Amino acid sequence: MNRRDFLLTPPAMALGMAGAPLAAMAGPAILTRESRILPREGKGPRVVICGGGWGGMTAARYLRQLIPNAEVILLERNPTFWSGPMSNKWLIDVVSTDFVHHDAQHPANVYGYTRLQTEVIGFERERRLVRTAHGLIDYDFLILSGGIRNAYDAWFGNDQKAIDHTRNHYPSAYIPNAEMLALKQKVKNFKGGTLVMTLPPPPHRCPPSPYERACLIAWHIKKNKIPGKILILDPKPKVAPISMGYQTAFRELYPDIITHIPNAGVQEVDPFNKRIKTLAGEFKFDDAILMPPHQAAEMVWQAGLIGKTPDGKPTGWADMDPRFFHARSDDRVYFVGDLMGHISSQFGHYPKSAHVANYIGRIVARNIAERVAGKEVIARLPDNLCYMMVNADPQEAISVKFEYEVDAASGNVHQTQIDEDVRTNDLVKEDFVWIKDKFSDFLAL
Amino acid sequence: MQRRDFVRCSMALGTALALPRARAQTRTAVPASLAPNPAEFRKAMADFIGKAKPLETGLKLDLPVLADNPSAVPVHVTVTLPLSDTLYCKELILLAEQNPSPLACRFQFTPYTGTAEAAARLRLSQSQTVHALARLSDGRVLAARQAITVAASGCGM
Amino acid sequence: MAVKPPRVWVSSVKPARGEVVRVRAQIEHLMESGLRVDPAGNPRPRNIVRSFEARLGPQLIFRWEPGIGIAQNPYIEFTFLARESGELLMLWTDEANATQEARKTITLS
Repeated sequence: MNRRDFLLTPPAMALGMAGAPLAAMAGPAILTRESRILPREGKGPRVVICGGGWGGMTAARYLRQLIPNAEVILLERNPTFWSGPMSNKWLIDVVSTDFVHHDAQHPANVYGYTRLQTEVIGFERERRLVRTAHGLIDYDFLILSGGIRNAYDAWFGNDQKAIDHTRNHYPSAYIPNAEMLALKQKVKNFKGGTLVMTLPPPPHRCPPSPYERACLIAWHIKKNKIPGKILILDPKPKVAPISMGYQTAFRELYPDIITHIPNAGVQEVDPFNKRIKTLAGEFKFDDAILMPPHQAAEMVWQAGLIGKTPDGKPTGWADMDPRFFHARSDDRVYFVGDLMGHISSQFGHYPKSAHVANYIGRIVARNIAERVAGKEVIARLPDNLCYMMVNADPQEAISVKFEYEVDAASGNVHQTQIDEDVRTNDLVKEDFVWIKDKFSDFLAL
Repeated sequence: MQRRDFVRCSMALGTALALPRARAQTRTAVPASLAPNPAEFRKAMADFIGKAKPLETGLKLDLPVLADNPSAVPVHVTVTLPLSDTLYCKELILLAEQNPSPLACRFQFTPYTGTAEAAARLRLSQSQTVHALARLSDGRVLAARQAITVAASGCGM
Repeated sequence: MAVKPPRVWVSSVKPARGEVVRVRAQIEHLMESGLRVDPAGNPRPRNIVRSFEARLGPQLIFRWEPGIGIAQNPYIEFTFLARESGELLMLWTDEANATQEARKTITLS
């Protein structure tokens, strides 16, 4: 891995440790990855959260609130917070960079948790230790909330050259921060031709919604009269969810720009010669946003907590209890957000959305608080809400809600999906109310 | 009810884990009887058709062949015959043959409408045939139908 | 009834005479079928939207009577021929006599 990080002098560490208590700097003059960092403060339980996105930051806030003597440490590789929700609107300047990009230290200061900018590189669960680029950190409870990884290996195996070329030239832009900027450059520089979007097969992260992305890039193409077309290669048999709302938008707003190809699961990608072979045929592209399949973030693999299919293959997602969100094999480890595994035979996974990550962040914080207090742990259910802008002038959005309940007969979680397919400006306004409410919940805005 | 869920979910959790006993949060509901009502279906058809002989043209019914979300199945109906100030569609019904309450809805148009087109979303309790019947102002009755497969179990009601 | 306002989309609020105007409207409503039971095992009382009416000025142009086979948060789409200007008034009424309404001004161009 990052060998050059191996030796870190305290000043270099301090750069990466905004907000960490000074006490952590005391001790040996040379720290290595084998050094214990962040010695315990006080007698309260310590929760280490790996991944400071929507779910991780929410959990950090509520843990501090619900367990006043808890020491909460949030580990995150990015220096700042970049929101997936709203990022499609940011691509075409409906919102500014300041709207999606935020100081991540501010909430840590407000809510009283420690934020450490570092890379998680492994775990020793039997010793309750997290290995980071900066050293070892011990925990009583561990939350893994690192989101997704791009499973380029599904397309390219070990061909690192193809992976790098694809990542650099046709970024998926599902993972903040750098790829978001790269995608915006791509959109701004698009001069025409066929722009191919390969959609990840479900379950995949959303937001940013790939269909919303197609609509808003199409709007940019239409507005600037760029001689370009968007070809959506969709592994699903139809547009879903909000099938009708999206299909209506494609047909009525972008009939000459967007073509949606269903059942187009990717078989082979040649990023050098710009060709894609799918189950629906072969396509050439001039430019592309190549979204490979998603899997749980590397940290779940590193922790050895990926689920297995009946025939022994990795599911790609966390092996967890569907009602309490802890690892099946280690109840000290919780999962929050997109990396979570299977929930129900009725619908599979919870939507890998920011709304769900935020909701589960709160639920897991409460569950840990109940355990610490020796109380009965209550299995709670989230809901989900997503707004997708399909037209930027006039601004119109559609929406989907998911409600969950426990089916009394089977004990399974049951999902009800509510599509709001009528595109209106009201839904745009509600989207902004929603995001302000969420940002205030974990960004302390 | 809640007690039973409680027990069930605790068991699902697995006794190997040293977690405190857990109580499940339930918000629902087993669907009650979703059995078809063939008598009511036949009566609704007969009431609408009366003594007319339904014509199999002039009414277009669109719905998916496969419903992945049986609690909201899009359905679209249009009278394709040319309409005028004197000829209009008075009413149009949608029937879901195997639903517990087969008459899904009724649309009414007037001479001021000038068209006869509508779309809505159905809940379907199982795979079945959806029927549309339209009555024109001259007394003609138009009919269309389509079979639909419901993918998930019938929790749509 | 629900708190959120009805969602309404009209293809054109300034249609030409003789143009087909398309209207899409959706409200939030549980459309409780009467077939479900609550967690205590008691039936949930039936309450669905029993009628939707669209008038252009004084004239009724479309009426919809949903049954329990209509989905939650009922979606309705209809068309009409633009022949005069006026206010398009849409009114939903449920079985508890709660109502919701939405308006769009239609002006012939």
